[in-house]
Amino acid sequence: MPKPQEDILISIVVASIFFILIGSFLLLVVFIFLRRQRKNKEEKEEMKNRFEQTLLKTQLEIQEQAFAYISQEIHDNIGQILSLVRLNLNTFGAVVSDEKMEQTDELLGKAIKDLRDLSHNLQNNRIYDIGIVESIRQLLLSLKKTGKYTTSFQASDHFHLLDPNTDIILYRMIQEIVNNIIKHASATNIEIEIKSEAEVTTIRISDNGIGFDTALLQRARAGIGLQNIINRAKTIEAGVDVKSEQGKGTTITLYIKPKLTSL
Amino acid sequence: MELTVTFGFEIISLLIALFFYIQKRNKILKYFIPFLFLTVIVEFTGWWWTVHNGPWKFAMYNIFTPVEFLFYAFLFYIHLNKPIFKKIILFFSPVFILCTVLNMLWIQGINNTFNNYIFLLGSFCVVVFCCLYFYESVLPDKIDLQLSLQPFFWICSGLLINYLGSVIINALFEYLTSNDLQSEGRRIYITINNSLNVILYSSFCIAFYLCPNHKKISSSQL
Repeated sequence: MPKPQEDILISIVVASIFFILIGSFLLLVVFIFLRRQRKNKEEKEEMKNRFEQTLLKTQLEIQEQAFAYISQEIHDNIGQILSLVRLNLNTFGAVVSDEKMEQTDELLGKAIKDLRDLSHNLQNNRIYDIGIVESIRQLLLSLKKTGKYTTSFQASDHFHLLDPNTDIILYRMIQEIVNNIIKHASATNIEIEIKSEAEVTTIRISDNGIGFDTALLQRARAGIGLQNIINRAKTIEAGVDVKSEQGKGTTITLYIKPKLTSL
Repeated sequence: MELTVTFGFEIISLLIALFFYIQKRNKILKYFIPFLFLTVIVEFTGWWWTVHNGPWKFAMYNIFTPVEFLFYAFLFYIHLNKPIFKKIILFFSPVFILCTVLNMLWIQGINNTFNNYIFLLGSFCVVVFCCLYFYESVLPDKIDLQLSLQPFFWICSGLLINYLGSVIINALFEYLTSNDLQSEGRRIYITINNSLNVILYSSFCIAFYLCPNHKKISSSQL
């Protein structure tokens, strides 16, 4: 074959390969561009999540401070005043009939006791001191004492190994759930079970109330109580699972990854 | 004369399409099966007529080529989302048919030679459609999709490489198959063409494998 023709054929092959390379390069550019875009998006989302978490933690800290202040005020101020009123009442003597006096004294005693309980419930230090397990036990005990509810509580032994800050948030979540049961569930029985395993700690709160359609949670905006639970769960990276059947009660399960504290 | 590698790959991809269609009932597979079946028949008939000096070899390829490009245009029409891109494809189809008819009637004829002008026009349009698809793929709303798991991405990649790579050899088809380059020219044409077809049909096979299962959808959620 003459030299010029051979050159032309080589040029054709080289040009074809060149075009194939252009195509491959285009594909590579699309791939790299997409990967970078996706990475940027993920980073943005992570930053947003971190910001939201910080915001929620700050909100909760402020709330806890407010709780501590209210608790202190109830204990040191209102509680004291009511105790003084009770003492004063006993000095009225003949002015009021004994029966009325006893009734008023009883009501005042109940108000003082309820306020003390409320004060204890709002106090963080108390949860730190006695631990979450004991706090939940007392919460259920106070419910049982009302005579409206039967309660049951089971906790595995290793549960105290959770981080103390997580304990406070968890306790507030449980309080919120129990409050929801009292307000909306028309239940007569409340059960709390804590299972602690190596991978995950599970807290199951169930009642025998009227239940509700869980699809409503996704369709409509969740109520403030449930929103608080979800927000708190986010701050401790916990999962929340709600199972409910109308007429057969509700079970809310919290899944928490345990953090070991330095002992 | 032996059957080419391309023919083998066409049969393999047809069988793979059939196999996955039975399993998945996917729409892409449904469209590809008759197309690949037709491709295999054309390829086999082309080979048969080459061996036995059949009279209508070029005519068959010249009719099949526009059908092939219209099929790809239809696939792009289904997969592109932007209305403007769909309109471009809708505009392309009648123009392409018109050019094919004009070329057959007045320029290259129906059975005189391979209608490489039409092939080049089709290749150019397919490459443009591929670019439109890739443009859509990098838009923000598609970022979350893993591109390498999309069947049409593989179809598109195969088409892009195949038609970009075959532009030169098809543009110089007559020169390569001319008498003074008979042996070397044909060898280069066949080698490049076969290699590109291997890439094309391999990407089709990957796409068939990645096609989602449409059989399951009807029974889910209940």
